[in-house]
Parts: sequence; structure tokens; C-alpha cells
Amino acid sequence: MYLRIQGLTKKFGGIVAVDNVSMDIEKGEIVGLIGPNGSGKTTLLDTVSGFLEKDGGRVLLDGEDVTKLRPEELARKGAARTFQVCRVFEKMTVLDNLLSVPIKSASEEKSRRVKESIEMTGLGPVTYEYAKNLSGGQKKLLELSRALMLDPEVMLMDEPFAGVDPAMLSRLVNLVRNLNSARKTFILVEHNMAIIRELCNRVVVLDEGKKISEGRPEDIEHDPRVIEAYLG
Amino acid sequence: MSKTSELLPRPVYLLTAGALAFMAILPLLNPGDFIINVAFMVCLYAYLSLCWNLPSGFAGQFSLGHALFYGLGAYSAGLLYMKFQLTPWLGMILGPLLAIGVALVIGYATFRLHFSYYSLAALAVAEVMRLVFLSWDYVGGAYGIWYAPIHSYSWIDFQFNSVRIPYNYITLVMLAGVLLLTWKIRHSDFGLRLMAIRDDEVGARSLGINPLTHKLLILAISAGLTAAGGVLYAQFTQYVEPNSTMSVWVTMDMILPAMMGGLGITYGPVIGSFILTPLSWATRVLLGDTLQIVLRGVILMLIVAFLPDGILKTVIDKYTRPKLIKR
Repeated sequence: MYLRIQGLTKKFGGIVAVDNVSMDIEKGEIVGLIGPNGSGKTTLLDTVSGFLEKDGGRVLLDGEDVTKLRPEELARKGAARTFQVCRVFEKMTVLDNLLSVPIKSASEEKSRRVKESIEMTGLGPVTYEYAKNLSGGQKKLLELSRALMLDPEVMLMDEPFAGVDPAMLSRLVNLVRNLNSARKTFILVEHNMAIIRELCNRVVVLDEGKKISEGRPEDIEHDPRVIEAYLG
Repeated sequence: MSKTSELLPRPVYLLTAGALAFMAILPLLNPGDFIINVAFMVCLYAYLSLCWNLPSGFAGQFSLGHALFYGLGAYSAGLLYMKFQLTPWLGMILGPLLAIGVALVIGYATFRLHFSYYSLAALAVAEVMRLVFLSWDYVGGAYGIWYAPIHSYSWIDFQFNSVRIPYNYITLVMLAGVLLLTWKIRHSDFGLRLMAIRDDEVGARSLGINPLTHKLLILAISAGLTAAGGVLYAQFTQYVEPNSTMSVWVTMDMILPAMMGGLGITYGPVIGSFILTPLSWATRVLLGDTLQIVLRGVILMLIVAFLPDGILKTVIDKYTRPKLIKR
């Protein structure tokens, strides 16, 4: 088991945003995380990645207990995170966004990775553009490729495909698929069921902080609890 | 692939080099005490503004309390010399150490929060310290510390009264040094990480960057260097009192050149000080102290209204960067 989440709980005052959620993710899986707005998907990612303190539960990464790690420590262990609202470094160029990622490798290796990710994402023409001047889709691509500079084993992605035009969408989806074929693991928060069906091996459904269903995409779409809570 | 340079047009480099060369030659031309003193202030405030720019411009930790570090430097030199008969050069060690200590305490307490908490905490500590020094008899209270000036000049006493120009050259060397340091930091991985923290701290953390250690380190560097500037000022005026070293106006004088020249740009504070400091001294002479402060306020408003990114940032965005972008 590569990433193991056990009994994770997060409370905000009286509201239990994530309620005793457990899931196991195998290496090389793409797991979709779905659920209505406010069901705790983003809070779950924030809690797992260490941005929010946990009120209960454990997280194991490749057998190691990472429950108490800060986000920057977890990132260095190979678990990268992207955000629903892009967090690009706006006043820096695309190139500097990529170069700002601290990696241990020699500078030639770093340059190679930057070149590779600029080619892979097609951000070449805007290499020297400030990140704030990019389109929404380009920002998504930049954030993803910046996280990939870490060469992470697992990616926690919060709505990476939201608000992206169809051409950009297929580019992003292909990128995820290519990375996955290199055994990278993904947790995707996503609302678009077509993409879920296309990409995910498995889906976890949250509602009001609780896990209400889990299974293959085609199975959960027929689960009456999921239909009632989410799909409608 | 190497980092994006600041993309300044060549004239900016030439202008900066020219300005520094001018400052090196000027004292030799015997232009009179007033010009020599203004030249000293131009370089001193370019230096201080560069120091201020490190945490504020690059790391986004906008400091409103840098006068505190400056004052600690000035008082260290004054006290060591007048109370302990020790060479003020030791102030170059004691002042920075004290400033770094205070900076780390303020930083550690506030750097996990939004930068405005640091800004206000630094301002509050600086003002409290100014009030403490105003009423603290040991350090001379409001009267301050008056040096017993020597009549000739002496390196060990760090006083140059018969020939003033060593002050100009010491400042110029310090200015060149901190300019080089800023350039180094701007073009280092450390500098990129500082800017990443400035632009989006959560994003930076998600990539494995620890904001607290980065902010503390750059603030410590800046505080130490600012205190060294305070030592220089104390030796130059041979008189240290709280209002002219620790008040928020002193911090303002560090902020304005950087804002005008270009916040977070290596050469910004230098360009800013070479424009603002002579202007401020000219108006002080022509209009008096009060109107001079009014004028400073007007300049600040004009900068915010018309050049919110500063001169150099505007130049870069209008002239050099568009050429690099293929649309």
C-alpha cells in the first residue's frame, strides 16, 4: 500500500469537515475523490498534505508515518500538491516558477527537468512571461509542471481540470495519463464524471465529511447513496 | 536553463556604475562640506534602502521597523566609544549582533502569519524602543550621546574630522558590497525561493520550501547590515539620539528610495536614493524642515499613483521584457 489514510478526522468548531475517513491507495493508481460541494474533499487534501492539523487519524506514505509532517516536509518526501485556485508565483516568470522548486539534484539535472517540463506542457512561448499574465489553463499547466519538478511519487490534485478549455483539457489529461504510465500515483478531486470514468481506477465518494461509497467508477455511478447525495 | 535575469536595459547598469564612479571621484574635487555631506547621505541611504529591500522587496516581509536595527547600531558605537572608551569599530560587531537578535525574536513571533503582522510588530517594537531610549538615563535620554570629537582624524577612533572624505569612501565601499550581495541573492536559488514565498507562501510550502527559515535568514542579514549603517551614521554625526535614529521617519527614508526605484529589484534602491536624497536635502535647505516632510509625502503619493512598481519595474515591463515574449 503506497498511501494509507486511516481514520482521518478534521473539525472546524462544531463542524466535522472530515469524519473518520480511511482509504488505501496503491502505487500507480489514479483515485478520484468526488462529492458535493462542502463534502470535505479539499479539507481532506489539506489535512493529508499537512496544511491543516489533524484532529484524529494517521497518514502513512510508503510505510512511513507522515501524520505530523509539515507540508514542506511532506513535499520533500515525494507527495506533491496542487490547488483548486492556482498558486503560481505571479510576479515571477514561468521559468523562475519552475526553477524556484528546491531539488537536491545537480543544476544540469534541474535544467534538464525544466526543459523537459516546458516541452511537455507546451509553455515554451511563455517561458519569460510573468505567471500572472498566463491564461487560466496555462496557470494550471504551470502549477502541475512546477509540482512535477519535485519528481513526486504521489500527486494530490484539487480540481486540476476545472475551468479549462477542451484543447487544454486533453493536454492535461494526457499529461496525467503519461505520468501514470510511469507509475506515478494520483488523487484527483474532480466533478467531471466523464474525466473520472476516463482516468480513474477507483473512486471515493464523500458526503458531509464521511466516506459514503468506494469502488470502480462504473459501479459507483449506480450506487443509490451516491446518486442521492451527489449525482442526482 | 538559467534563471530569468532582471532584464534591465543596459543604460541602467551604465547609469549605476556611472553614479558610483561619480561618488568615488566627487570628494576629490573639493566641492565643499555641504556637497560632501549630501554625497555621504546619498550613499548611506542607498545602502540602507538596499538592506531594507532584501526582506521587504524580495521576500515580501514589508518592514516598518528597520530604524530599530539602525538605532541599535548607532547606539552600540556611541556607547562603546563614550562609555567604555572602546573603538567604535567594535560597534560594527556588537550593533549587528544586537540587531540580528532582536530581528530574530520579532521574526520568529510573527513570520508564521501574514506579513502585515511582522510590519506592525516591527513598527511597534521600534517605537517602544525609541521611547525607552528617550527616557533611559544611561544612554543619555533625549539628550543622547555626544562624542568628544578629536581634532584631526584617527582610524582607531573612527573619526575623520580634519579630512571628512574617508566617511564617503567607507560608505561607498559598503554600498558596493551590499549591492553585490543583493545581486548575488537575486540570482541565487535562495533568492528565487524568497520570491516564491513573497508571491504565494502556501504554494511555496507545497513545493518543499520552508518559509520561516528563509524569512528569518534574510531578515537577519538585513538587520545586521542595517545596524552597520547605523554605526557609520553615529561616527559621521558623532552624536546619537533616539529620534534621528529610531523614529519611523528614518524607516521611511529607507523605504522611499526602494519604492521609487523599484521594490525587489537589485538596483532600485540605488536609483531611488540618487534621485530622492539630493532632492530632499535641496528642499531642506530651500524650504525648511517642515515643507521638506510635506514634499516627501507628496512624492510618496505620486509614486503610488503613477509609478506603483517603481521606475525600474516600469522600464523593464515597457522596454526589455516584451522583446523576450513570443506571442
